[in-house]
Amino acid sequence: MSGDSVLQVRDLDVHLGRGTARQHVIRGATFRLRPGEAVGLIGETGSGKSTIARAILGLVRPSGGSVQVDGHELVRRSAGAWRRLRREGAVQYVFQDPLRSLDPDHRVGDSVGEPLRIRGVAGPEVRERVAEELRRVNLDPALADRFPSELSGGQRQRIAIARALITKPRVLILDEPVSALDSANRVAVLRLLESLRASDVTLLFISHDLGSVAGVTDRTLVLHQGRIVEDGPTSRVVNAPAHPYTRLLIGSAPTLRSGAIDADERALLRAELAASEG
Amino acid sequence: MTATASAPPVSARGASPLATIVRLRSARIAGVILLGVLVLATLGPTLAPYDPLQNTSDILAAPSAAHWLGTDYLGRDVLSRLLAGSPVSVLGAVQVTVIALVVGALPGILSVYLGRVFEWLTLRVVDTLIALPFLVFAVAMTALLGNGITQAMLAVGLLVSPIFYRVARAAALEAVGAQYAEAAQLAGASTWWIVRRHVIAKVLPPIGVALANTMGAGLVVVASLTFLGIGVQPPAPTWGGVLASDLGYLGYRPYAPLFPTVLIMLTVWAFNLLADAIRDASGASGRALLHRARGGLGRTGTAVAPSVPSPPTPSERDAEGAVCVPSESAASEAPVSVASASDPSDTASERGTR
Repeated sequence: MSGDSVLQVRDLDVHLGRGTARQHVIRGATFRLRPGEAVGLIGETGSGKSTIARAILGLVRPSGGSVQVDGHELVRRSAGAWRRLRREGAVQYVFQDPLRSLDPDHRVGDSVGEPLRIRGVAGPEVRERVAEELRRVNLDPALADRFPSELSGGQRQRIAIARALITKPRVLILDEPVSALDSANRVAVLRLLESLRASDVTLLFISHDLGSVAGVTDRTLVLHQGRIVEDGPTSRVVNAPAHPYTRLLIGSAPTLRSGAIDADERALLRAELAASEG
Repeated sequence: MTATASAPPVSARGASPLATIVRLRSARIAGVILLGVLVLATLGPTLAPYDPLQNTSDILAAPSAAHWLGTDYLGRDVLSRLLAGSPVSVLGAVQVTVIALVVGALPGILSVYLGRVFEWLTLRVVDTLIALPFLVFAVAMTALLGNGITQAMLAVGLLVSPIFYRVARAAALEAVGAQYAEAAQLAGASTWWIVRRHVIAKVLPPIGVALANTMGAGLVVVASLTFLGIGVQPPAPTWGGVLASDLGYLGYRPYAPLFPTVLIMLTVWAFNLLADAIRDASGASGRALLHRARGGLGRTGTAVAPSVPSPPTPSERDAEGAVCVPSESAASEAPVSVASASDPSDTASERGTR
């Protein structure tokens, strides 16, 4: 794999809130995504996973650090510059809950085609591309005339993915794309993500669930309290976690590895984790 | 047969809000009544068989072929007075509603966009308007600005505007913070695009409901004020004024107040019916209505489209209850198969809080 980065995040700091409620949510996060790579970002609820994604996308203003896509700096851009960049569609995002991320009053085809319409692409071409993307995510193009409420959760999430793919992004960030789905739909979406790896899109798969991430990623980043505490090949992170927090995370899933941890070991890891945090 | 079942099926794409709303029987009834009210409001004075201000010696006469609704205590034809009073009564309600809409809805939507100072200021103004006593304020305004229907309606419109402010603001807040608006933003949409494509569609139905309700309420307010002689003074005819004069002679014509009352009630009822219809035809219930119509199965419709929702594929069925790793290559590196009930983050986060 080449040393080039499609996305490079360096010393990213994000503060949220004002005054006394101001919190240091992301603390010096540094990582890079290489072209075509699939990377998992895991951590518990509140660890800052979504905030990292929102900072990359410009929905949250970082207080420090740098985010580069194909060498272009994204931090401290003007609103107009952001709009132009977003219309190019290089980085796309898939929300956790497809029911909320698709406008309930818009037909599926209108939602999927919206990024193209925003760019000013003509109607017939938009319809053609929508049908193409729906087929790509294994859905019947006839669903374009339906409303999101008429579809199943898995179909909705595939539609959200189709909307993100229609701009042919270089990087696709998926924020807990399967956590709102039942197991059958979860498998369907994970299979779809797996098939995306064959294309040259780079995936950043955010999840609290290592089980979902492990199957579709090459590399895994572990986020704990706003810091990236582990970054390595997924198989290594799963089989030989270096950081106590990762060991706790993996040990908490009894079927994840044969060596599930017992209560004593868990207490030991907690103490180790507390010591490492000073 | 239900109204929805008897209505013609709509095409998959041709479903304007208007097309959806006329499918409701309540909307059609309201429409017919309000069309009648519109005719009264525009043509009422010309339809009046007599001069509504012309006194005659035939006072307090019972309904007859010459005077269909009888005459009042000055011998004036009641039908003519009701017809001639229609424009003032209905236009008064329209004035109230338009003033309330402009003063309320616009700042309500803008409060979401124009920053904290504007938001804070408008919220405090609205709080103040809500605290003002209704009739006293209207009387004071007419005393200050002159006793005219427009002055009175300006006062009432201002007092009613918080309803529009709140409804518009709530709908706009919901749509602006929604993920679909954020998704459009991430696709490079301008604020105007988001407002036009996502926010307006969410804001309009509740405003439409408030509009219809306010028209009804406004009509009652106009009738109440004119009943009290505020805004329009006798002998100018209004629905409220006719009611007031009829109430003075109950001993002679006990049925007389029924005529203006029925007119007022029927109009208000039609506006409320229309408000209900707008609510039923918009949002989720509107889509359900369309859904049923498209299936052509009426209320009991089940089969909408053969492909929706699609049945699970055999592989999806196999996966019930457990999450399998879809990638064979990845699976060989990291043998992960997590039962769906076991969620590492739950236990991890639980620990993190200790």
